[in-house]
Amino acid sequence: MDDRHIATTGTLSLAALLLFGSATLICVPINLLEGLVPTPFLPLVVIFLYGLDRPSSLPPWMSFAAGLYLDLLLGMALGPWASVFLLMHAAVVWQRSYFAGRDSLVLLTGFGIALGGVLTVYWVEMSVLGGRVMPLWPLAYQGLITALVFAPALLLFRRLIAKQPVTLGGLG
Amino acid sequence: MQSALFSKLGRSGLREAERPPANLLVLLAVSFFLTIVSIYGAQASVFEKARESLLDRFAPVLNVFSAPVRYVGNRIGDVSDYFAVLEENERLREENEALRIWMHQAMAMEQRLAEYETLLNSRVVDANRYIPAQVIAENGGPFRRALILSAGREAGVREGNAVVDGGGLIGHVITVGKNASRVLLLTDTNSHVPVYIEAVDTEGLLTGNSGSRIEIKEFSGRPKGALQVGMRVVTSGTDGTLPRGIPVGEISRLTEKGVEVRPYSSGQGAYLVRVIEYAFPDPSEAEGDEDALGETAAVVGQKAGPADG
Repeated sequence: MDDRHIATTGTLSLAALLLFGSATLICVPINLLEGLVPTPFLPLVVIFLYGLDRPSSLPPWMSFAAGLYLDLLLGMALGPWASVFLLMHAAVVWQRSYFAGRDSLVLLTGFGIALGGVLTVYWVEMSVLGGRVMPLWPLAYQGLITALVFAPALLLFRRLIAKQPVTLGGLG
Repeated sequence: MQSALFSKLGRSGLREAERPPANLLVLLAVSFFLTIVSIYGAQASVFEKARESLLDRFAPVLNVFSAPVRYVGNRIGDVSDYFAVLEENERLREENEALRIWMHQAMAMEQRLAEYETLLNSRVVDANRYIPAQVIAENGGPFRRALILSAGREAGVREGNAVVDGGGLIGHVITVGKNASRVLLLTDTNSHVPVYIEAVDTEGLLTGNSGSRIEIKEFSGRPKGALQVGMRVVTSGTDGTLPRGIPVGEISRLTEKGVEVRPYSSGQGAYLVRVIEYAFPDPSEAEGDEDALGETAAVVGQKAGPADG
């Protein structure tokens, strides 16, 4: 099942802006509720939604570049976020046809499962890099916040996508 | 004209799974390869250069992103302050009175210390220079605890410099760009700071654990006295990069493995900080001073001799 949407410079730019903007947002000192609520992993939401509906607008190299950008911006080892972004990308491409036409609850469940998987890989990578078992709860907590953000993000994305012209036919 | 999100068509499920494209798998392999390389060379100069370069290029972007967030945060803070202004005023009055007493005691002690230093002809370590900086970004990841500051090499910031805010030490500089620098907070698991527990005259190594707690698990020797909750912890300066005596926190809990320390300032949410420009005293200069001190002592001894006799 191929993606029938033709990626134009405009759609690519919008996807890049959303992906890199949300990656940058992870580094912005938002400190919601006195720092009790961490910044959600919004790039993973962007990759999931684009991978589902407009994969041609967000090609794998863009996920890879955004991952490397975040790795460098956070001052960490190169690779962990790049691999996490690409794994999310692979997961959504892999199950794209299953998600087509399903309701929001199924999408949320699918996102939750994919998120749990990729964050587990991230935890393993960070534990190997750090040479010790990293605490799991900060990651799980931030993952939970990300899952909570998914529903409003899905609504916003649907509105955003509805405004974009479809050049060729879509799925179905 | 349907898309994956808008289509009403049901799909048969996992059977119709698509294979990820080959380029995605290649990039995935590259990213895992980079991670493995990072295990052995995370601090390699090429990675460090890339981090410094990105830090410099994106510092203005981060500034733009954080400005509205900061503005909204400040306005919310203003509103909450408005409702607590009376209590806050009362608290500040009491604190001001207590601080005035401390100020007079400190001034008297400073005077006495200056007299002793003159008597001993001791070499006074140069006063630290402070470089003010603004926090323009925070590491929002789950494990790394770091900040990005608006001051870099051009302002005089060097790798290893201590960073303090109103409360005390919050961390030290690990990456320096031209106009920005990255600070590793005390709470990061990679942070190891030599500290000194004043009340029991003992040094230890303070380590972060990614939460809000920091711990001392290793001590340089047996503590000279019983460790107690509330004891003050300061930097020991034995690593040669941080000056001695910067307040770090106080013991909050005694555990089987060591002690937990509640930092005076965690660094999270800090806005204005100061980088301490510190140079470890040159041992060769100290030797020169010891010679001078020896000569002075001899002169004093000669002068005192006849009187004693």
